Amino acid sequence: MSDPHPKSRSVAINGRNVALALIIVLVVALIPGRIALHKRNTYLQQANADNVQTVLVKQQVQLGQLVQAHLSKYQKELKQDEQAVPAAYSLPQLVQLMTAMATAAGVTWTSASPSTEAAAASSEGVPGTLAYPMTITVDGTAAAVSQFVRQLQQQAQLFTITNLVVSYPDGGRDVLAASAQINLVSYVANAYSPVGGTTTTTTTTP
Amino acid sequence: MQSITDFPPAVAEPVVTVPLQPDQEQRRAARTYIGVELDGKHLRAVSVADGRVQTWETVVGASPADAVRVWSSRARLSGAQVRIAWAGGIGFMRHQELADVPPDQQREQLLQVAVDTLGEEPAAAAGIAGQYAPPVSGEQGPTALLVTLQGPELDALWEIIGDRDWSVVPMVLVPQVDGLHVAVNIACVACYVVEGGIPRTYVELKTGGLEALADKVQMPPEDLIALRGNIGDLPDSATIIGYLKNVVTEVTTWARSWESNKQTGTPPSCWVHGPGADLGALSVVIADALGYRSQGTAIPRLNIVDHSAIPTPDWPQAYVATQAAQAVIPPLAVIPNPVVVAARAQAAARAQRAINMTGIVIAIAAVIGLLAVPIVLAWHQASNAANALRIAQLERSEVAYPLSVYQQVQQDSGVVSGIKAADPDVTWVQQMLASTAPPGANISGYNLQVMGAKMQVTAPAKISSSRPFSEIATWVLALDKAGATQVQPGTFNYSGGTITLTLQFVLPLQKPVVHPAGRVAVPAPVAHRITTPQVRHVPGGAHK
Repeated sequence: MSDPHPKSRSVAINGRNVALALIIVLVVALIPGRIALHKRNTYLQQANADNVQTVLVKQQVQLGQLVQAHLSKYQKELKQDEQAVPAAYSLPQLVQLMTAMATAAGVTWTSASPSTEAAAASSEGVPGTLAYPMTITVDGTAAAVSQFVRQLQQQAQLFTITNLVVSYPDGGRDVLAASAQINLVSYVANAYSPVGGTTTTTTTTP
Repeated sequence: MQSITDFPPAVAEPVVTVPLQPDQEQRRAARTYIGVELDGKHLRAVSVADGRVQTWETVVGASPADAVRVWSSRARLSGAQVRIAWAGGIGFMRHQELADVPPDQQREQLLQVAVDTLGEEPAAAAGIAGQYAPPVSGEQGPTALLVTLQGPELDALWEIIGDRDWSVVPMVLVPQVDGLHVAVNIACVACYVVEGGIPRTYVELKTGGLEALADKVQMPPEDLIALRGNIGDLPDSATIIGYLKNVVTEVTTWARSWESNKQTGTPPSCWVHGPGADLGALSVVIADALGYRSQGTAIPRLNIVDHSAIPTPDWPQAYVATQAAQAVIPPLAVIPNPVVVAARAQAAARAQRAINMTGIVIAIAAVIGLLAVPIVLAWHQASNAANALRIAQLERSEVAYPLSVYQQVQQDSGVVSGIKAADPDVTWVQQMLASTAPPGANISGYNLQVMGAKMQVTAPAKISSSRPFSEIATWVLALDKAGATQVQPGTFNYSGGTITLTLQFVLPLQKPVVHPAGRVAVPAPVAHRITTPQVRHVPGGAHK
């Protein structure tokens, strides 16, 4: 018995249908394709960002390891910084310090007008600090007054002089009498924004 | 016409040598071939293998399909080629010219003829003889013979056959010896003429087959067949004889009519076969009536096939089945099993669907691959980067304290430097006043006023000199040379050899550092170089 079935036609239909299905699938795939491309780019961007961040973190790790090897030095430096700029403003300690300096320099502390409120940062402040203005007047010999000013600028706690008036009433120099009015600023650390406004309290010591 | 009662009881069968074609020889040696003649509910089967008839059997079923079912359930059919010759039931028989039809389209052409003639596809089978010589002169070859079978019983038969590779052909298409054939079957009595192995004409007699006679005499067809020549003593012998006379009359009438119309010669022989061939010596009577008696009535057998398994009395019954088993029908001759065709069509459809689905799946997989692989790779990169970052962050956490100390120091040093940079160098002012003042100058004090990054110094003084202006100029020049700017003597008085003046000048807050190369570097305000700290620290506060 012969086989009458036209197989070649069936194969042709199969091939055509498969090709058509492929085309449909490819066309339909364009939409998820764009989504997939976007997703892929997102992943790559994330990977790049993480890689950059990793490099930075590794640099920090290396830095941290170096610091670890010299940690005592940095801790000492940090302690000095903390003395230079105290964390809090303390008027009693400030008065005590001024008194000690005056005694050491041999001058007489005639008046002081410390402020208990921080000055506006725009006027006398240093970034990261709160500035407390203060005016003091001392009498003594010219050398003692100079010594007082020098001590003031060499203290572990930092001060800045904003105005200094030194007078030698007798017109003489080293051994003659002198007086000085010193406008200075003491600093405390400020972790936040500078506080606006100041209130000045004048205190006169005997 | 000779009386049936005058029929001689038996004649010796001649052996006719009919050479087989080479392919017939080959096929005969390779397989078992089973020929089945399906005569209504009666099935006659002959199996041929190894050059001899292996089995000869008859089966009776409730229907033609049932007869096949019963037979096939008990016959050994494994590996056998089965051909079923359907007796009767021919829709039409037509010679069809195929002169202008390409060989590969002849089959479809013939089927189309069948469809056009029947008004539908041949219900179950159509035997189509292949190309052969034109039956009559004047026709243009090639010509084909189209014979169709119709009837619901064929549908049932195909269902029984199922997907087995069997063929069903009209009995008349089974190649037979040339001559005029009278097939006295149970279902019908058919007459046809075979020339060159091709049937030329075919008719079914109105008298009907043995089944019609059996109904009249109230006897099973099998009993009628068994009577053979012994019908004279039966009560219904007259009915049987009347039936046989009708058959002879109708055959004779048809043969005379066909001979008068045909354009070829008279058939050389007349062969009566079928289960009713010997009933009342019918074969002899017909041969006598048609003038073939002298040529013998026994149907020849192929001598290269051993038919000894078929008893001589059974040979007229087994003739068609034997021919169906051993003869080769041209390839174009048989319409395939419609059940198989449908099954193959379904299989092809399934295969097509499978191929389509496979293609779609492959395409989807390819698209998913094309879409997913870059995403997976990118995700993998992102995952690796995130892991590396996490590891680095863990390592950083181990040195978090040293880092925080370092950052605090950096921040605090900036603050400290900023404060120091904002503090005026008083000593420098004092030294500058002392070192630049001319001899005889008496400075009564000084006023230092910080103004941003500079300081303005005001110093009242008296100079005792006979050249007051020269002294003033010298002092101003000395201050200017020492780095002071905006040096002004202000308003001064000269009285009694003494100049009274108020000297003003401006200095940077810090004394410039002189490098060995001579360049002057003014310390920049360090505070402005402080970058945004990552760890906010309050000097003097607790470590974070």
